Order: sequence, then structure tokens, then C-alpha cells
Amino acid sequence: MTRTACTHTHSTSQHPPPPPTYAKWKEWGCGHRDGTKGDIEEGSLVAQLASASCVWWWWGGAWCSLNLTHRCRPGPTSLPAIPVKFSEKQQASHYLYVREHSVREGATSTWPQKRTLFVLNVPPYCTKECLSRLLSCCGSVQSVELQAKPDLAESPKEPSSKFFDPKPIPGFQVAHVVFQKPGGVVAALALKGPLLISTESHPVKTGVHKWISEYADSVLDPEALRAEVDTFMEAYDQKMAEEEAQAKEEEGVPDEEGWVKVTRRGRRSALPRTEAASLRVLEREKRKRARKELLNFYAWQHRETKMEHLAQLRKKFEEDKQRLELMRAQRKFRPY
Amino acid sequence: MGPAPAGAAGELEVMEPMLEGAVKKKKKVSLKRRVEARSPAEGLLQPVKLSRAELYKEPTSEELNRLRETENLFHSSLLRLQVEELLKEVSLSEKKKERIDAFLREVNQRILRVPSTSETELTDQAWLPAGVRVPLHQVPYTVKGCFRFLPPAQVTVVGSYLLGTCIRPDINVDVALTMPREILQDKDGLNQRYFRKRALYLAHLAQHLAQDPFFGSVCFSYSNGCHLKPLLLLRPHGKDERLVTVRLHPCPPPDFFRPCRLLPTKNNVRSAWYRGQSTDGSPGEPPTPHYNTWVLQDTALEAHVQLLSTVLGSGPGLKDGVALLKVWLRQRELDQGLGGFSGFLISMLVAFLVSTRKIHTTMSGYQVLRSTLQFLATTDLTVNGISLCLNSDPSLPALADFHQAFPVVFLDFSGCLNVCADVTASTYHQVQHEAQLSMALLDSQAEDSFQLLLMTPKPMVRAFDHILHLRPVSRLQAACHRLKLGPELQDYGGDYVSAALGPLTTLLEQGLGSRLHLLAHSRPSVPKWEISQDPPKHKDTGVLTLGLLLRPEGLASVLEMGPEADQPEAAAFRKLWGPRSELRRFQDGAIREAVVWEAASVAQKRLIPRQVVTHLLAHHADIPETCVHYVGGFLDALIQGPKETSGTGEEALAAVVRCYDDLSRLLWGLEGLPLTVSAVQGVHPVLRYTEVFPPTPAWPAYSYYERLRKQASLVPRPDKPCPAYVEPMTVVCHLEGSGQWPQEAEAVRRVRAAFQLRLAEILTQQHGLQCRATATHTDVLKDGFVFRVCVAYQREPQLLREMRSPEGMITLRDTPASLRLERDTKQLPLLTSALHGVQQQHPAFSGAARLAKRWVRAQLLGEGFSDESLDLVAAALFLHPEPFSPPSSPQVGFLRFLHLVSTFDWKNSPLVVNLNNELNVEDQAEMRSGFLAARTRLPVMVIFTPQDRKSSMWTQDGPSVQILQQLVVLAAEALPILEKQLLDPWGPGDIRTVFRPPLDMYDVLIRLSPRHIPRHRQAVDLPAASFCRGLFTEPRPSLLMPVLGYDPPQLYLAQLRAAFGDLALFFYDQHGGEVIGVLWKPSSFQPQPFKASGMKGRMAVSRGGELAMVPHVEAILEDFAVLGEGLVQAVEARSERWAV
Repeated sequence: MTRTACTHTHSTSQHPPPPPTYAKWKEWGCGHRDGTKGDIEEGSLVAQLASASCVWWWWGGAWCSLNLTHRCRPGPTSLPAIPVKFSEKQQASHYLYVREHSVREGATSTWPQKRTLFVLNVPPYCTKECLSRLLSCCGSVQSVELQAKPDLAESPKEPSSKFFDPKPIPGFQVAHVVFQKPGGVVAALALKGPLLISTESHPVKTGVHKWISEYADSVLDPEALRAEVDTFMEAYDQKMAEEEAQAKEEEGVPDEEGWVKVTRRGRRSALPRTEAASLRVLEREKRKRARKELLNFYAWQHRETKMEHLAQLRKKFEEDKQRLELMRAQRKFRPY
Repeated sequence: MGPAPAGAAGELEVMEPMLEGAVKKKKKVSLKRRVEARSPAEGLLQPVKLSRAELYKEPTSEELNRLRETENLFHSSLLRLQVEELLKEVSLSEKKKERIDAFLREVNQRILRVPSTSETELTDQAWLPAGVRVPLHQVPYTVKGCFRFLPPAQVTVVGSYLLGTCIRPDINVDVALTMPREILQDKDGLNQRYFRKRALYLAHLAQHLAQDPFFGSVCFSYSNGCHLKPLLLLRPHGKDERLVTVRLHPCPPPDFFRPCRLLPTKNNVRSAWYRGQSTDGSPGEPPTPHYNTWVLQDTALEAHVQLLSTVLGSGPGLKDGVALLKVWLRQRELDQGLGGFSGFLISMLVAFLVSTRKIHTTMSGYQVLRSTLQFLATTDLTVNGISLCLNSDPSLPALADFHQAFPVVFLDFSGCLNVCADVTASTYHQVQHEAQLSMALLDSQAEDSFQLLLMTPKPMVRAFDHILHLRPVSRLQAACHRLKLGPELQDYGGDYVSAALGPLTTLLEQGLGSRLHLLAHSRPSVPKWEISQDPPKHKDTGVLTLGLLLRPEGLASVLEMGPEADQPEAAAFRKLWGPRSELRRFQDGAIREAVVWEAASVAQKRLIPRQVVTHLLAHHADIPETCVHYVGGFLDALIQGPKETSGTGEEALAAVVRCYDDLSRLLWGLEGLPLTVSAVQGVHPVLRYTEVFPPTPAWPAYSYYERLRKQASLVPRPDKPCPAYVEPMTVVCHLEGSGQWPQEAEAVRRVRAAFQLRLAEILTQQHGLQCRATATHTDVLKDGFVFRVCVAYQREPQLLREMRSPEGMITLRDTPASLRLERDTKQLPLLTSALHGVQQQHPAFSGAARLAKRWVRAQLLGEGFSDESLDLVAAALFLHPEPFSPPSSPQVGFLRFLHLVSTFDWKNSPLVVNLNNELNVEDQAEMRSGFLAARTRLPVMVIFTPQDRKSSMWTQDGPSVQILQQLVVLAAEALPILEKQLLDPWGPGDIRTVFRPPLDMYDVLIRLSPRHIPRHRQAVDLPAASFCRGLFTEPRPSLLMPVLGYDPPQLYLAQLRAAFGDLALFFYDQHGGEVIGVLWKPSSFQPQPFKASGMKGRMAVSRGGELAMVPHVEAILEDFAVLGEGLVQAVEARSERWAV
């Protein structure tokens, strides 16, 4: 297999054609243009202009254009690929694909503009600490965030509990690396590599050693669990109490149109507003109506019932014929 | 993988390499056929759509008639169509009939042209040319009388060809040659003289016809396997060679023999002649009923055909019925050989039923089949014989006389000939048993009853629980002497196999008693030999095979209780058991004769019949144990735990279940929990007896481990071999209902965690058990077993389902989380208890299910199938055994598992497992129609149970099309190999062959180091090396929690799948596999456009000016080694298929 590095020029400084207009967008059949999450997959090549000189794509939460006219070896202006190996012993290396994190104008991002590096194809044995150590040569690293796949929501993660949300097993990941200074990003884009994940001074555990340490970590302290549960439940009880107090407060107070909301307190409300309950009511109505109806009373009803029976038989017959055809095709009638 | 076969066209490509690997050796034809069958549009049932106009048009009278006929004469329209189709398949086309008729005319002419010979003494056979041997064993040789050949007086076609009931393939036309009266002399019926002449007649005929180039082959065979009655087989020359076989039966002129001389009480083989000694001492000549019958059969050939043609000619349904019955018999291997229930017998039976008006001439073929089966199922011809004879002549013998001489009695219209003379009692009982099973099947109105009744072969090895072979059969000659069967040998003309069969089967039936449901024997196949050779000897008939159908309830006891010592029956008991019988005093004070067998475990108890059989055969028939090859427990070794010596795990499983029962009692009685425990339900496979290797109590040696003092737990040490694998057994614990639970899913989880903590605390305080609580479960160490108790809140799935619409209406929508929770806490306990029930009903369930699971995992396909789905397939074998009876031994259960998996039409039908018999016929029909409508949304393999009528929840996550297909292919290949090994125990190969996976289909093999495989000793072939796993064998006080669920290969696989799951498939046998098979997915090796989310282990290359991503295989192969450091020994790349 020949190894040819990525060859796209990322044209930010030159003059790319404008982002696709809405009409163009419709023409390409891609739904509406300000593709929110769900419409466009991250990184998908969405449109190619007729001249094939430029590609628009949705990446990192923003429209980016790629100029296809200049193809060259990996360089400062292309999508840079940094070779990365587990240790000296390995022959072949994976490539980290990096670019500056940028978003479309107007969109917000939790990661600071200019200072954030977006890294693709992070191998499973590469941890946060490891990545931060590897890139610290380009400038001091403020934070590293690893994700299974590029996530557009970028919502700040809720503090997850190690008791209730066990970490999934990592595969290849993407990373957002925030440097303290914009210079770090520039330096990282020019990085040649190859980077070594596990070195003499900083060995990374894999295999049996890793599993044993993970097993040891999985044996948790019940006291810590108890403490966490207690804190959560306290907060929950407080929240419930507040809600109840608010509901009580609102009770009996007419709104601006003069309506007063009356709620029955207690374990069972009068008629729960659930779908199941409304279905039950409908069903009851239907049964009531069916009881009143007369069956096979009029001559035409009789006739219709007969016809219905015949139609059923015909349908069954057709089905059986089809089944038989299939059996014949499968040679199911050769007894031995 | 996509669930829908129809929409899975793209994914089918993945299958290509797998298939290629598996069926590489197969012929091209079969591959082509499979490819055809796989095309998605055909081969898949679609719901029928008829337009309104078509559905509601006025019916024609023809249509109405057909519909009415279907309703009256058949069970359903499908059955009618199927029956018609089958008859079309087996009946003879007009074109072929014409060709056969032409051939018959030629045969007739050529026979009449055979020259006569001059008269010679019977013993002077020098006139026979060298190229032909007399097709008869002439023992003793000297017979008085003369013979000369004259062309037959008459050549008539008799038998099924004339009646139009012969069925394809193997068309035989029976032709009767009436020998001229001049050849025969008075008293030819005596001392085999008639048979000698008959044989010489055929020999001369054969020699002349063989010279005729018109015939493709001329050879001898026996008529119905009877060795005194040879017949000549003629086949046309050239391309018609396979078309037809003409069988020439010489027969005496009508009225030559006087029937009164050939009654069953008469003797026609003189002892003086047969034994060559005077009979002074003997009280009189013994009757020779079988010999007499064989002579009589020849005299009645034409008369029988006339009778049958009048009866069967009276209605078209009768002929169809006979054809169906013949297929039915043939599928059950009942019609072949001496004493088989042949097509002639069944035609006579139909004639009898017509004459007694049990069958009417207007009946359809299906109804004839049903009535005949009904008659067979309810009538025991061994006790109440039947007769076609209408005249009540007092000179005719009574039925009772026939019962004296023959086991099964069915007289023809003459009243002298028993057409069932050669049928043994066991054969008839087998027929009766089959008829009963078939009637039950027809009455159950199952949808596929036709398929099961007429299309499923029932070979002996799959139909009977245990099989035993007697070899060499020449031992039976000695047995005959031992059993004092001299007169019988005289009657059978020296055929010691047939002579000994009856007494031997009776003996074994008597000895096996309550353990036995049915004993059947194989009928030696009818030999065929060249005319220049001597007829085959009796000992050449091969192996005598007996099949035992066992009664599970009888297998539980090791004691054979006899009569009290002073009773007269005691002597008979002692005679039967010989030295094994001993006097014992029982708890109630009685002193009885008794036999006690040694059996410690369930597996050994299942093999008590073996001890019984070998003892009885050695004691009574002088057949040593070396000649008895008992096939019953060969597969047991595969489910025997590494430390077990005798049992196959049933005892170990029962010990775990007892421990679990104790624990659940403790849980019920707990004090101090805010809510009391309302139910404890096991969900782990061990608790339904289907775990392949039951856990053994773990007593860890603490020095072997690191300790976590605070959590009182042990942790493995990197410098030691991996510690023993201890799997926690999950138990769901329900609490009493309460309104105090929070109404928010997150909060419920926290409260549950609090319960887990409290549970651990209380169990430790009140019962001194070692516990460890986490947010979702509490691990409890009890008697060396670890149980994982999960507290469940009944309404939690409901809470996860609730969604509030904008109008404030609460709607319930299934979410993945709610479905999973409901499955684990609600459905799984139900399933576990239902399968536990199956085990109580059928003791062999555990063994069969575990063998099946073991095999699937040994083929490295275990991860594709959930535990539950395989258990359900195994349960189906016991709950829906049709057309068999439920298996009573793991071996036969496993064979049927392979058969079911390889023949079931997974694409077009759901496997309905009627647990607890909760589904009636309408329910099942509804499920099937629902299945058709929803086929594309359902998983590839669909299993419905009463609790799961729509979604097939246990197969939702797999298998994929490819994995299932692979399993089907492997099962279809394994079944014949295994059956051959069981049937031919002296052949090459060993029983584990089918459990060794084919490895040549994988692209990469990752070899693992046994040091870090904790279940290494469970491997199919017991490894030479063994490692210390840090366990004591003796019980110790357990203060620290052992290492739970730590299995490095599984952890490694999880990592591999997370990282490379979309590039490759990984296959591994969790029971001690030393190798992981990797298969690249061809679809992901196609260069793909650049995509941020699809980067995973790929690299970007420029390909013809386009930017493309391809997997970076060199780096990935090195990753395999990096991720599994310490565990992985070597990564072998075996193919270059990935080199894009």
C-alpha cells in the first residue's frame, strides 16, 4: 500500500467562491441550508461546484471551503497529518489529522476561537494526559477534551458521576485541544512528528496491566457512593419542595383572564392525563356503540357477511399459493 | 447489522468472503443455488395484496365447489395444495409409463424365448454354465427331486405398478413368472425343494438374459429380504438405466399347493433332513410357520393384486392415500428389509379399512392417510389380529393359532396367509408409535404439519435417544444356540439374525422395563449381487442396530425392585438378572429381590440402560461387551467441567440452585430494609440450568492476589497468571410497592443505589455474608458462589417511557433504555422461570441446551447469539418435538438442534416457542400473520414466545444475516459428519471433530497466551499446560471478595470491537479459545470520501485525483498487539484481501 498524505488545500486566505446560496442548496437536494444538527453530518462533503475547483463542507460546526485546484504534499496550508506511534517498537504509524477549530459566524462554541486545535483519529490508547503531553511542545495546553465523534452541540458536559455513568470503552476519538496562546495552534499545525505515545519516562499502560488497574478502579468505595446519593437526594427533595410550594402559591390566584386553576392534590388525580387513559375512554365508547348494532339482521347484512367470508377464503388461498410457490422453489417437495 | 433481509442487499456483500471460506470445497452447483436463494426479492414471503374487485367478485360455481371440497376433505387449502404438489412429485408421468410399458413387452418376449433344458437331479447342477451361481444358500445340500427349465406358463405384472401406487424415485415393477406344472413334483413344499427349484429357475433365466445386450444390468436380490426367495432384477440398457427396475418373481401354478398343508401349525422342514440326524428323541416335528408363509406368499401374488386393484380402483382418493402412506413409511425407514412394513402391507391395510367401512371410497388422499394412521394408532395387531377373510369356514384355523405362531397377525382373504408374518412385534410397535405421534401432530392443527409429517426424514440416530450396535452379527449364531432357538432356525432356514431378533428384543424390553418407552431394531438392507457371485452370507448383513426411546421418569432410579423373596415370581426375576439379582431388605421391612446399578450422577443414570443391555446380552445370549457398541454418552465429555470426573454438570448446577434458594430465603426474611422484599427471581443462565460450565465454589488463596483493604476485595496481580474466572450470577430482587418512590428516573436510580448499599449492610450484619455494593447491584458471596443482587423498581420502565407532549398530555413511548430495563427486570425472570420449568419436565433439556450452546461458541459464533436465544431454540426442541418425541438424551437433542438450525426457514417463519403452553392455535396463526406483515422490521432470526409475541427481543442485537447464514452452513455440514461417526463407531475421526472451528476463513488470527485465559481448561481439546489460578480446593472462610468477572480475552475483545468494530468482525470461543479470528469487512475497505466522523483508523490517500480514506492496515495490525499486551502472543495476517 502506498502512503500518500492528504492533499487538500484549505483555502482560507484566498478567495473562495461564496458559500452555497439557498437556491443552489435546494438544487443539490440537501434540505435547508443553515444545516442544524441532524441535517448534515459532520464533515460530509455537501456540494461540489460545477467547476470542481472548490468543495463546501460542514465541519467543526462551520462551513468550510476546500480548494481543490492546489494539490500538494502535506504542508502548512493543507490538512496537516501528524504521524503518531504507540512506542519506538512499532513500524507503522497512524496519522492525527489536525486543523484549527473554527465555527461559522454567529454560531457559538464552548472552545475559544483561534486557540483551539481540532484533532481527528486519536488512537484508543491515547489518553487526555498523553495528548496534552504530546502537544505541549507547541505551547502550554490549557485543556483537552476527547469525544467519540465530533459533536456539534458542544454543550458543557454535566458533571458525570463515576458511579452512575461508567465511561464507555474508547475507540478512535476526536479531540479539542485548547492552548493558552494562539501560537500553540500554529505550531501544532506545523508539527512533523512522529509522536510517541508511550515512552520510557511516561509509559502508558495497555493490555493486562491496564485491565488490572481498571479492575482495581472499578472496585468503588461504598461510602463515597453513599455521600453522592445523599447529596443528590437532598437537592432533589429541595427541588420538589420548591415546586410544590410554587404550585401552592399559584393555587386560587386567578390569571390575567380571570381563570382559577384548581388541582386535586393527592396520590390519585381524578383522571390522569395520559394517552393510555384517553385510549381507554375511546375504546369504551366504541364498545358501547358496537353493542347497540344488530348483526345479520337485514338481508344485505347477511349477504355481506357471506361475501366477507368468501373474500377471506380467497385471500387465504392466494397466500397459500404464494407459500407453495416458495416451497416449490426451495425444492421442498422432494421427499427424499 | 440491518435487520431486514430484503433491505440488506448492500450488507450481503460482507457475507461473500465468509461463504467463500466455508463452502470452498463444495461444488459450484450448490454455491450457485445458494446465491440464487439469497437474492432478496424472491424467497421472501410478501403480504398478499388483492384488489377489492378481485376479492369481492361473484364466485363461479367451480370455485365454490373447490372451496367446499377443501373445507370438507382437507384440513386447509394449504394442506390440499401441498398434498397435490407432493403427489405430483412422486407419481409417475404418462411419458415414462409408456416407456416402461414398452420395456415390459420386450422383457416378456425375451423371457418366453429362453430355451428349455433337459431334466437333471436337483443336486446335479453341472449343467449350469460357469458365469452364474445359484442365488441360494443350499444348506443342507442334498435334496431329492428333479429339475428342468421350461419357459414360464404365464408372465404377469403384479404389484404397485399395476395399481398405480408406485412412487418415485426407484420405480420397481414386479413381474410374476408362473412356472409350468411340469417342473414341479408332488411334495415340493417339503424341505425347501420348491425354493431350490425356484432358485435354479432364476439362475438359468439370469444366465440367458445377461447375455442379451438389451439389458443394462441383470442381478439377483431377495424378495422382501427373505433369503430363501431370490429374485432377478432387470434394468434397461442405455439412458433408461435409472428409469425402472423389473423384478422377476417365479411362482407356482395356481392351486399347486394345498393351503391346508401350509397352515402355521404344520411342519414342512423335517428335522431329520435339516439337522441330518434322526429325530427319535424329539417329541415331534416343530411347526414351521414362516417357511409355510413364504411358500403361500408365492401362490397368492396374483390374487392379492386382483383384490387390491378392485378396491383401490373404486376411488381416486384411495390411491393417493396409499402413495402418501408409502411416503410416510419411507421417511420413517419402516418399509425396507425383511419384516418391514412394506407398501404392499399398507395397501392391504387400506383394503381392509375399506372393507370394514372405516374408509369410504369418496374420501380424499389426506383423509385416507388420516384414517389409516388413526387405525394404526389405536389397534394393536400383536394382540388383536385382523382378517380380510369373510367366510366363516370352520376348517380354517382360528386367529389365536396365528397369534401363537406370529407376533403380528393380519390375515388375507383366504384366511390362511398372514401377510404380516415377517413383521416383528418391535417393528409393529414402532409403526404404532409413529402413527400415534402423527395423529397428535395432525390434531394439533399446526401450520407446518404437512412438512413435519411427510417431508421430514426420521433416521434412527436422530429419532432414538440411545443407539446400540451389535457387531459382528455372527455372534448371534452363538446366541441362537445359547437361547435354544433350534426350531426357529429350522423355520427360518438358517437365518440366525431373524431367528434371534425376536427373543433378543423381548429380553431387552423386559430388562429395561420402566426405563424404556420403545425399542426398535434396524432391518438389514436387502442385498443385491451380481449373478456370477454367491449370495451374501448372513454375517455380511453388516451391523444390527437397536434404538432405544427412553422414559425420562424411569431413568432417575438406580434400583430394579423385584418381587418378595418368597413369591413364586422371584425365581423368574433371578433367572432374568442372574448373578446381579440380590436379596435386599427395604425400609418398609420387605425383603425383596433387587438389582442395584452403580450410578452417581444424572449422566451415569442416563447410561444405566447400557449396563442393563450389556449385562443381559452377556448373561443370556453370550454376546460379550466388546461386541456391543453403545452410543449414548459420547458427547457428554464436551459438557463435562474441567474438574468433574463422572457427571455432566447437572449436580453442580443443582448445587448452585440450592445455594440460590437459600439466599432468596435470606432476602425474604431480611429485617431493616425500608421496604420488604416481595420477590426474588434468578436471571442468570445457571439458574435455568443452561450454563455450559456451571460455576464451582471459589475459595481464593489470598497470597495470590493484591488486596484492597478498604473494600475487602481481591485484585489480580500482573506478575501471576490470570486468576480463576468467577462469574457473578444475577438475581433480580423486587420490593413491595410504595408511593414514596420519586417520580423522576434519575432520582429513582439514586434511591435504588441507596437500597443496594443498605442491602449489603444488612446482609453483612444479619447473616455475616461478604457483600460489595455498587450503584446498580450488590455482589453477595455465599458458600463460594457470588450472586449479583439487583434491586428493581416495577414502575421504572414506565417512568423512562413517559414523555410529556406540548399540550401536557403524558404519552408512553418505548425508549432503548426503558426496553432494556424491562427486558432485564421483567422478561428475563419470566423466561428463566419458564425454562426452569422445561428442565423440570424434561431432564435432558439442560444437557441438550448446553451442548448446543457449546457447539455454537466452539464455532466462534457465540457472541452473535444471545444466551437466551440459543436456550429458546433448545427449548423448542423439547416443546415442539414433532415429528419426533421429546429427546431424553443430550446427544439426540443436540443432533436435532443441528437439524433444526440448518433446515429452519428463518427468513419466512418465526420460531414459535410455546412456553407453558400458553398459546393456542389462533394465537399462533395471528403471530405468523403479524410476522409476515412486519418482516422487514424484525430481526433476521425471529423467536416468539407467549411473553414476546411481536418483537423477538432476544434476537434484536444479533445475529446478523451473515452470522446466521454461517451457522446454518456449519450446522448443515456438522450434522452428517456427526451422524456418521455415531452410526459407524469404527470409522475414522473422533467425536470432537465437529466442535473444532474452521480457521482458514479468517483474514487475521490473533493467538492468545493461555497464561491469561482464565477458562483455558474448558477448551474442546484439553490443553496440555495448566496454570495455577489461585484457588483452594477445600472450603475456607471467605472474608474477601474474589476477583469477579475478570476475563482478559473478553476485555480485549471489547476494546477491539470499540476501536475497529466498523472495519472488522471478531470471533472468539469464550470457553478456553486460544485464538481470535478477525474478518475484514469488505464494505469498509472500499475507499470512502473524507469524513470527520468516519476517520477511525483510516488514512487519507489520493486516489485518481480524489481524496479518499482507506483503513491503515499495517498500523491496525500493530494496534492489535499493543491493545492486548501480555495477552497476545502473535498476530498472523493470513490474507492479502485488504490490500486495496
